[in-house]
Amino acid sequence: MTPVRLTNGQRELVALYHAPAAYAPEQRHAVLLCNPFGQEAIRAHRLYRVMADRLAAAGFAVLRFDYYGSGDSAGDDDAWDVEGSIGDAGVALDELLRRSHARHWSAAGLRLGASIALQTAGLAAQPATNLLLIDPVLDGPAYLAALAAANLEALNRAYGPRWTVCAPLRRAMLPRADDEALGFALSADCRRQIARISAAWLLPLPAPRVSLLVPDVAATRQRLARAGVEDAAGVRVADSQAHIDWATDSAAATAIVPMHWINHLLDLLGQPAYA
Amino acid sequence: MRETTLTFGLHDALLGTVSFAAPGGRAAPWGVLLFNAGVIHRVGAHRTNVKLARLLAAQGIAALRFDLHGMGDSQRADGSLSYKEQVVADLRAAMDALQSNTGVQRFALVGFCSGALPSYWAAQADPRVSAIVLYDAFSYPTARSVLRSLGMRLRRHGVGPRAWSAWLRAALRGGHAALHHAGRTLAAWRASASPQTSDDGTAPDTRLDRLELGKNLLALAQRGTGVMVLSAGTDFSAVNYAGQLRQALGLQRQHHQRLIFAHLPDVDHAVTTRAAQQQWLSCVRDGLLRLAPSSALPASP
Repeated sequence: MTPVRLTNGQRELVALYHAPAAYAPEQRHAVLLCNPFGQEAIRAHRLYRVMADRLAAAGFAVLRFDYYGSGDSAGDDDAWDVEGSIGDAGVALDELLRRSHARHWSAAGLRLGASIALQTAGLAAQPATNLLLIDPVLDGPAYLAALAAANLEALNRAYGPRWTVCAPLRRAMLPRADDEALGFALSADCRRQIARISAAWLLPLPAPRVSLLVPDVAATRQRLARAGVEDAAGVRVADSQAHIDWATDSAAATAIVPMHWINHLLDLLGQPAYA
Repeated sequence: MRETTLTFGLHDALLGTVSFAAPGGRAAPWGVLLFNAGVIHRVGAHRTNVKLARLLAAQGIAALRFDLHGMGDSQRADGSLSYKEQVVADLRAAMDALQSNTGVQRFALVGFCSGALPSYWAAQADPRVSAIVLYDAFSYPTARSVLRSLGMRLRRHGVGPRAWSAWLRAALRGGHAALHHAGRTLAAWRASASPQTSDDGTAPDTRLDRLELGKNLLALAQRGTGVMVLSAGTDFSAVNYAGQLRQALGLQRQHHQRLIFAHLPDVDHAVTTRAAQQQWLSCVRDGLLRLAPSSALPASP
């Protein structure tokens, strides 16, 4: 694993490049991992680390990175937004292809990372081969509402009876509930960008194979059908077999790594799951 | 603001990011180490390590935020050392890395929750540690804190016939369990208690007698190592007034300028809201500046 610093204009980004393992069969295939947002990214860090390690062990080149205003990258929290992150992902993809000399590339992303991977693939000069979208955000307004609910739930859990009883505490600690989610800023621009996300973002399909891992297959198929996506060849919807609450700060000492998701990705890339 | 991400330590197994002191001012001769809280990687809970590192860098203080062995983006340990030996070795390697990159010779360690014990151990083991911040790692109750916690629960249910009826029903249902719980809590307080960071309170590395801990923290201060014991108010169930930990550690009559107790009554343990983050960052920064080493590295004995 090699730490890499990238720049997207004035935006300095931190990335980690996982070279294909020397003992693995040469794949000439690179995989870009796109982070979700805020607390979800903190919680998903272990999943991404293990995913990158497994892919590299199977011979794939992998790059994971932090968007500007997130993680280890430069920028304050309130500088983070979806459109900027899509640009950052494009720069990360260029770096991945430059370093790996790969002939093919694919991408994977969880939650908002799936939306960013989709858009990045749509804008890339070289078409992607596969996209894995894990529990993707297909309804921006619903996602914002869920973040707001998760925020209040986290504060109720953290402060217990105090949050209910003490109005000054609520005023001091959360003066404007819409402006943040679980401790991460959500600017008005950013909220507008998220609100525009829908299932229609899958069209036109930016890769020949797009696989969605979702906790509720039936509901997702209905949503895709309403957006005219379900009939598109190359889209596969599979049960994620896990209902994981990524937008929470409870169980902070628990690393969550559903290995069957990683195996699913390896299968999608044409590799045996035991690699 | 200039930062670099690097690997360091034996076999380059550890990974972290250095924030360099901002140019233009006089760089401090000491730096700050920030590392994992629970399984959260080096950026810290709600990115607090990143924010603190940059706040300090703006004031001329370099910082390294990094992942311990087996955490975040660092490699796993080879298993030859105990947990305590391994984390102390990791912190020493991080001191070496920050020293070689910035020239600082003394170090302050910010131990967030589960990071408190490693900071405490490293301070005992390495004279280069000039200060430690132990954040919300200990929850020794006192009679006053138990009463305040009960009072908060009473307030939640309100006063009046309906509330008292609810309390009566709850008392009938759970009276025995409540008494049992209160008895266990007070018994633990009278004897010794484990910090809330321990997994089960039985591992030799993490079991701490509260009075012994108090004595050791005072001894660290007396030898020149600054100590800041910082607690969060959260839900009132653990620490809920400013003097609680000083009292519980048997230090109410011991005052030393390099031993600070601070309580953030409105901040939750994970420093969740942005307002809480601001309070936490200001408090830790001010504590670090107050505990800045006044002399160069002490001579080896």
